[in-house]
Amino acid sequence: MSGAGVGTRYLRRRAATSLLVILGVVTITFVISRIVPADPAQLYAGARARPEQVEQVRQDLNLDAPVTSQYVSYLGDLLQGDLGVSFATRRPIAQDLRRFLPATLELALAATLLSMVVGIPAGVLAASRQSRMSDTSIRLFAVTGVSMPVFWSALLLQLLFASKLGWLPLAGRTDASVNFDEITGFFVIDSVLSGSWSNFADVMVHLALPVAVMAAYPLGLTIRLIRGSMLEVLGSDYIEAATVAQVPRRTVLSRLALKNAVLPALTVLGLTFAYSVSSAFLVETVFAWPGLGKYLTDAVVRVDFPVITAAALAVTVVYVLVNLALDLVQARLDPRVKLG
Amino acid sequence: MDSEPQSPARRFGLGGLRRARSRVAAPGSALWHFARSRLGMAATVIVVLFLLAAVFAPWLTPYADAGRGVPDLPVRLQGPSWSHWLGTDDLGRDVLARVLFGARAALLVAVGVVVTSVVIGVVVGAIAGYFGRWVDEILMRITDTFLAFPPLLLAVLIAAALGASLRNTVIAIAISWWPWYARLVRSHVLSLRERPFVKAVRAIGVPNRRVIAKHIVPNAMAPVWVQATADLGAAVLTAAGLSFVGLGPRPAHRGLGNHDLRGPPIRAVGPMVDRRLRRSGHRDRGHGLQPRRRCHPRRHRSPHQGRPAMTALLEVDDLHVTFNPPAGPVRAVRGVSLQVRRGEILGVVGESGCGKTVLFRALLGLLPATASVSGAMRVSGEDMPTDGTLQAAAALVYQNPGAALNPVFTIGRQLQIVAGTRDPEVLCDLLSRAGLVEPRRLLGAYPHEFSGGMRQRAVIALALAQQPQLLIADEPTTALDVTTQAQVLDLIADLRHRHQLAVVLISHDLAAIRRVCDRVMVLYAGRVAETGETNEVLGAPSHPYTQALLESVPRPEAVGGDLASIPGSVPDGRDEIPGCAFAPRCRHASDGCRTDQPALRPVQPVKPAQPGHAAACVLVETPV
Repeated sequence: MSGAGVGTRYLRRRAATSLLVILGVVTITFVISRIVPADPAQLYAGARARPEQVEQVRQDLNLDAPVTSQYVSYLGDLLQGDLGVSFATRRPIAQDLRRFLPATLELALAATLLSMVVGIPAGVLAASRQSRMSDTSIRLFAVTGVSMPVFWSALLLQLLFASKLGWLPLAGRTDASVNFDEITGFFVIDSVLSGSWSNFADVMVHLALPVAVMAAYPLGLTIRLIRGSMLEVLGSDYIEAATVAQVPRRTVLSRLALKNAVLPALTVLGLTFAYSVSSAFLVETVFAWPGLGKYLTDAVVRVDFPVITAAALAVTVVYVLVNLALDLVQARLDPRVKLG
Repeated sequence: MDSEPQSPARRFGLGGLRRARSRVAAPGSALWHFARSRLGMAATVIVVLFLLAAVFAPWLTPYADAGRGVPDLPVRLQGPSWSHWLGTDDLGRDVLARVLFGARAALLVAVGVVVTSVVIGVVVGAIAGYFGRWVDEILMRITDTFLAFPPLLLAVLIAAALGASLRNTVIAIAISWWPWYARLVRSHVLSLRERPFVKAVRAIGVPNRRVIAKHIVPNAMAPVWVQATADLGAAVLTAAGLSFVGLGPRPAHRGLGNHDLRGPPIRAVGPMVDRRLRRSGHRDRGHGLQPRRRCHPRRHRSPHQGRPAMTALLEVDDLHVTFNPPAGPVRAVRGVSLQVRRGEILGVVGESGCGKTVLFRALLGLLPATASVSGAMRVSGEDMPTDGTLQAAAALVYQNPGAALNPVFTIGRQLQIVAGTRDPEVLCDLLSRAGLVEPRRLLGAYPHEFSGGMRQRAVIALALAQQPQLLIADEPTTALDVTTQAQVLDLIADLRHRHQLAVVLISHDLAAIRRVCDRVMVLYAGRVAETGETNEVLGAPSHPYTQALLESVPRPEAVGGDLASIPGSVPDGRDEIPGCAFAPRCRHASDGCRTDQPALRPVQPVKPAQPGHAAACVLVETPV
């Protein structure tokens, strides 16, 4: 089996591939932002910019220079962590991202976690009671989850839980009255660090609706995925052999079959995180959640092009890294994945 | 398992009806199955209604202008009424009209996105797969990079760079989607490229462009259509998302995404229902395909000592197994009786499809719930229901040991779970008894680290861990190489002696049967053709089918001569067989053989307390 050396080699090779992919992503972003638009300077300066402002931008960004030298300086800026300046607010984008990224990650991680914690057992349950009442209702739930447009379910839940019942807050990350130090940027952690139970409770009730909305799609996806791969595993000879050996059904499902069903699905489950991040635009806009998605949406509305490019790049890099982490976890857990 | 025979009404009436219908609508096709289900029917109707509504929107509503976005301020924000079924929005436009026209835009976007991304994807995928090497390398790296973006994000970025319009929405989504099609097509082209018909046209000098267009792409399209159909719905959702952040089609062509925001949310119900129902077509398939399994509480297994060696462990009388697919019942086993004694190996032979595997899977309760099983079974002289109770006494050894071991657990862990103990001594002992050396090291190993022979030994160890009285080995040596085959057979023979096991060896390898079996049972079309001691049945076969089987075994001394085969094929399980099932293929058959079913008759004088040599053929003359 794998010695430590082989594992490290796999890790190194996988990391190198990810780096190449990130370089490719940067290149595509560059092409879309500098070459695709008819006049990038006009786009960067904004629709209402005066001609001299457009000229200023053209010089600042070196847009008259040959494409190759533009590309080199673009890469150089990125390496130094310089993502440019927002034309709407004049703030450095890197600084904004540092502030907004944790808010989005908090939301996306919570949604991913929720979809796995609920989705995996639900998928197993559905597969084990195939075609019966509970299976049908779980599948109906899953289909509803993947079919509902995020902004629509968000509005309905807001209407029900915030406006009509008043059980949950309408929007935002915290109440205006709540105040604590932002140490990590993850409010769940920060509120715990502040030592106040009411702070933590406030953060949690604000998380409830956006997370529920965000998790709907990945949850449906997870249920269908796990149900499908579970059915396949349950049809295999080794599970039949365990049944003939009279291993209790519960053990067969929770110990023998589950690991087989989840491991190959793990890479695909990485998609759940991707979907959470993608739907962040919509969810954060509806819930006035001060994260990357809202930042990006606002930039789109203001046609603040440097921000759009930089935020898209940042989200993609996070996404690539998450997939890398998932692959490594899978390689660690699945004996069949060849490390080397 | 349903062990009661089915009611005649169900057996004939419904079955006949189903068969009659299946002749009309090409049975077996996926579309046929889909349309047959109630859910499938409902989904089809809804999708068709939606398409009609989208296409004929201008004629379906008196408010076509409102649908195109023209405001009518005097009637703004009205609730549902007779003249405005879903009310009006903040600019006084009829919501129903807007929904209908929104569906038009949605349909346009969906078709536009799917067509564009399929075209790009198919071209890139076909070129990459066909030319291979550096072309493939470069194109696939580019594809992978596009796939690295979260799906909606790339579309947002492109739409922002291009500016918002219906056309740009289509372009933005298509650019973020084509890589999926490129990968799909490439993988199919890779295998198509090696196919003889492609090699042939290349060899006669057909230019590459024509080969790709005429011979490669048309054959690689099937999976693309499946994916494209599923993507139509997703395209609408994505376009709605883009509209929501302000990057969708401009107001003149609104998608379904952006007119739901103002006014009370009830307005949004229309588009919601549309979308959800359009997706309901993509439901999971495959229900009803898995056998339903049961688990019986673990029974205490009696130890093997203290019983005379030659009592029958398993006796089966007149077992029938019938499958009931929609196309009509299939009779796999048609009245088989058998017995297996402790310390004895019974060989079960016959061509594929003669019912040998089904027979024992039925006794183990491993058939789908739709199969009906009838007959009597006694285990150690005790009457037992034939619905899987045999599991308590039996263990199964599979044809493919690779599939019978769980790939993600170590051998030790799997033994632990079955044996119900963590004691390494016990587990090592099981492995040693299955003939594996260095058992302690093997406990921590995964199945994929084993050779084929070792895997089969591990499967046997797992079987022993169940402390069975009966071992059912279904073609245990077919997947192994010849030397390993002999070793595994000898191991089974040896275990039988050491543990007084009753063994059933299902095989069509007559050499294997001859090597280890005490008795043999020849099955044909779900009936017993001949049974008796191995050397009698295989040495002096009485049934023409057994004779034919033996003649079709290749013999080294007959090199050069034609290999005998049995003309014709095993009868269809759907047919009633009035006479001898083998008659159509039998050279001795007379008219009587086709109408009267021959009973099993003793070939030799019956010895007491022991089943003798018997064959089901009119040619057999019972000695007195």
